[in-house]
Amino acid sequence: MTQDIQIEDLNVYFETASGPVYAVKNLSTTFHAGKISGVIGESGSGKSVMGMSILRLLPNTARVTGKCFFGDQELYTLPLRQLRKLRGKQIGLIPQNPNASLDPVMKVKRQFVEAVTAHTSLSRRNAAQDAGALLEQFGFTDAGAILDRYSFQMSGGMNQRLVSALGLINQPGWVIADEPTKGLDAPLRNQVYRVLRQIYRKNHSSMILITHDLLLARQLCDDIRVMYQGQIVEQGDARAVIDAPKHPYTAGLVGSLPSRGMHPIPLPDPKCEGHSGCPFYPRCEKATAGCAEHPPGEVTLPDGRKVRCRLYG
Amino acid sequence: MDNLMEIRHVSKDFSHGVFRPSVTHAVKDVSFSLERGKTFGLAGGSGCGKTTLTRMISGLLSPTSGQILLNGKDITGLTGAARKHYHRQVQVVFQNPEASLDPTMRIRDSLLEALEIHGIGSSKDERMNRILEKLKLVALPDYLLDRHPHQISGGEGQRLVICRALLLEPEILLLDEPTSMLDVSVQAHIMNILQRLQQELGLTYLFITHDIELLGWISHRIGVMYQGQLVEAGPRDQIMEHPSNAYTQGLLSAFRDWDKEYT
Amino acid sequence: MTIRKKQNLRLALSGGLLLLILFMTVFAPWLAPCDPTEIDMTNRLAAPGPGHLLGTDALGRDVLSRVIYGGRASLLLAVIATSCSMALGLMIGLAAGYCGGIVDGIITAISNIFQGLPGTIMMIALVGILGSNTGSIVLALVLTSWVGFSRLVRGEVMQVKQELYIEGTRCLGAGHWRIILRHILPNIRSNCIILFTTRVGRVVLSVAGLSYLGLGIQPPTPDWGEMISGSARRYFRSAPHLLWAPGICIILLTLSINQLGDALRDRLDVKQDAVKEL
Repeated sequence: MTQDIQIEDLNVYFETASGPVYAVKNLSTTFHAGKISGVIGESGSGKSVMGMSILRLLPNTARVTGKCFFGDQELYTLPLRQLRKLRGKQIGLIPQNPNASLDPVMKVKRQFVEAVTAHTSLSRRNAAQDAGALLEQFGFTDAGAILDRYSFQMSGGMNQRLVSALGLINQPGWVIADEPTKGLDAPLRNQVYRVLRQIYRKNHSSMILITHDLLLARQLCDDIRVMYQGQIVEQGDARAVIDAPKHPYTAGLVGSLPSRGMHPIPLPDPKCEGHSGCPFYPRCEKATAGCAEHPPGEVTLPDGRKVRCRLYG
Repeated sequence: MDNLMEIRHVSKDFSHGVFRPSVTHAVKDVSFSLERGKTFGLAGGSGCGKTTLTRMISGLLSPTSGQILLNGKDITGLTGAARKHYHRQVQVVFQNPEASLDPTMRIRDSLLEALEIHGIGSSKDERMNRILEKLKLVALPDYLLDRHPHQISGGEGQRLVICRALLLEPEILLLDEPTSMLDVSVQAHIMNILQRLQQELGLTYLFITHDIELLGWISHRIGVMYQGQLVEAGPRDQIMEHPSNAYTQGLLSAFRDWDKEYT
Repeated sequence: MTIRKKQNLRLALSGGLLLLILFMTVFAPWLAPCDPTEIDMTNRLAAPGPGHLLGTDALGRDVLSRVIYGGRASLLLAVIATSCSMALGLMIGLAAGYCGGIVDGIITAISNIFQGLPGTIMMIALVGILGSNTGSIVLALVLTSWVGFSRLVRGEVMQVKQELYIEGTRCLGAGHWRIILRHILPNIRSNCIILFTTRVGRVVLSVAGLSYLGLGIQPPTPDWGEMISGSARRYFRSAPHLLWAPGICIILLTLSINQLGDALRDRLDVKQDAVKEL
């Protein structure tokens, strides 16, 4: 049985020319084994940084403090040699930006074989067969031909499905999927969704889904976390959070969807700058004077949902 | 019906290879028209030829055959002053806002350039006034003018590109997936701005995207492209509610199956 | 220390060193203690001492003065020759990259021929045939190095030409010249500057090499390369100071130019301070 992934007091900031920039602030959360945990947020919310910090795949200008427990192992301080054994085998990754994640001078087959033989004693031929079978699940009808191609010979949508397959080839107990549907049109997005769901059911694996796609998260996840400026502002059951959001930011996001009439969240009010309170305060329609002064704490509601907003306490 | 632009039997072939040329038919015999003041939405998955079609309408590519008529005049192969005049009437907004602005230029200069090319405004002050006036239309603060493209957000960038197009007071805006790189909340902003601009300025839109739900929100008529051909076109409600083509039905069901519990 | 500070420090150090050398060369007439061409046969090969801080050479000329003057001719020559080859390479590369098609095909074929020629030998042959004067040295340098610039420019232009902002500007109604002058050139500028600085360093070495072979700057004009070949070669066992001073100068000059090129590349990358989401 796989174990939970538990993040405690995570802070991530980047060294830049103009000083440190925080991507994640004082974040604590638990991803439960056997479940699909969603992390949603817009670009710049820190969701991908948080996800990649688990595998310590951040650029070297990033500074990480805090703890991340995977069973009894603390991932942020684990020796790299042990961490490498974990990556791909126990925690698989479906990275963002598929075109950049595949080696352009290596045929697809070799990349799959390499991913398998790095962790198992399987022969190259069997590894290639496994890869072919997996690709068929991902909607490729001619898996053999695909394996003999290079990444640049395929469309972005095909590469997206290929990196998804590559992340799952070793049947890891945990999968971190970072924007697996980015840039895909609706039919392809549904295909990736069905495959992820199928893989999850068949392998009983656990998954962290990082996405900007609210409907995908609602459909696929058990519970979700909504991130805004490096913090989790709302956390709870996926359907409950999307269908009846509690935090004004989540409500704004859901209202922005085309199917919900596309009502935009207000832009930050320039008068509200330089406050020390809630990060969402300058855009919040329900803000009160107190919101500008004190950052809200996390409140647990009767249905188990956690919300970081003064409206609830 | 007052048709501002007509696309008539437009096709585009690409040939590859020197010794044994093989031909790809990127766009095959596409015809539709843009009604003045209305939005025509063009939907289609990746690789359906919608990008090639946009490039032809924006004058970056010439069609292999067929005509593109603006106010009854064919615009294919225009040069010099006639081309310039066409671009003043038809402006394009591309998918990636950051890449649409020259990274070495300040926003101010990128915007001024549009006016300089067409000799609009006699002094710099006059041009700046015009820029400030159009910035208000897209709800942007003027301090952005001193920034470089990498110092602004995607939403701001796309509104700046729309603002630059508006500076020329065009009749038609070609919107090539203008929100597909943006977050939902930013997308909602841009879409609302676009709708308001159409009402206030009477603009005509050709809106191209793979997101048919987005089209349902903004379009008056919708066309669906598949493998280079226009497989279905008609009024919004007809396409959204009673699509006759199998591909259109598939495109819609990809959203509907997910949304069943909403409607 | 932030990344930006490190970059600035490197830029300041390499730029400062280069400026120091340039200052020395430009203000040589005021800095040099003696006339660099004044021969004093009574005081040949004198060791460094109070009268002549770096000693004298085989003709009794003051080595310090000659070192101070010695960068003038070769630096001037290098800057002129590199400017000319950059101008030529820029035009040819722009034509090839922007027009593409048949123009590009022809230009690439010609570039390949030039690139196939062995540079140093070509240079020696050309200077040998045309005679050793400034004009022929510049011509030889330009003929052997324009290809480097045109290749770089061609590649950069082809890449920039496809960018969305170029298409966007076309769609605003802009003509070809505006696009080339206002958008393509500024966007390839930084890489051209970097290549220019590193090329100047290399050309200084080439000129020194030519001078060493007796084909470069002719005596009695003081030149580092000539100084090494002239008397240092014959007397460096007995008078090693003749070799050290001009040798160190050449090394420092090329080092500072190359470092400056690298530092500029880091610093001119405008997008580096943008933080992207991962």
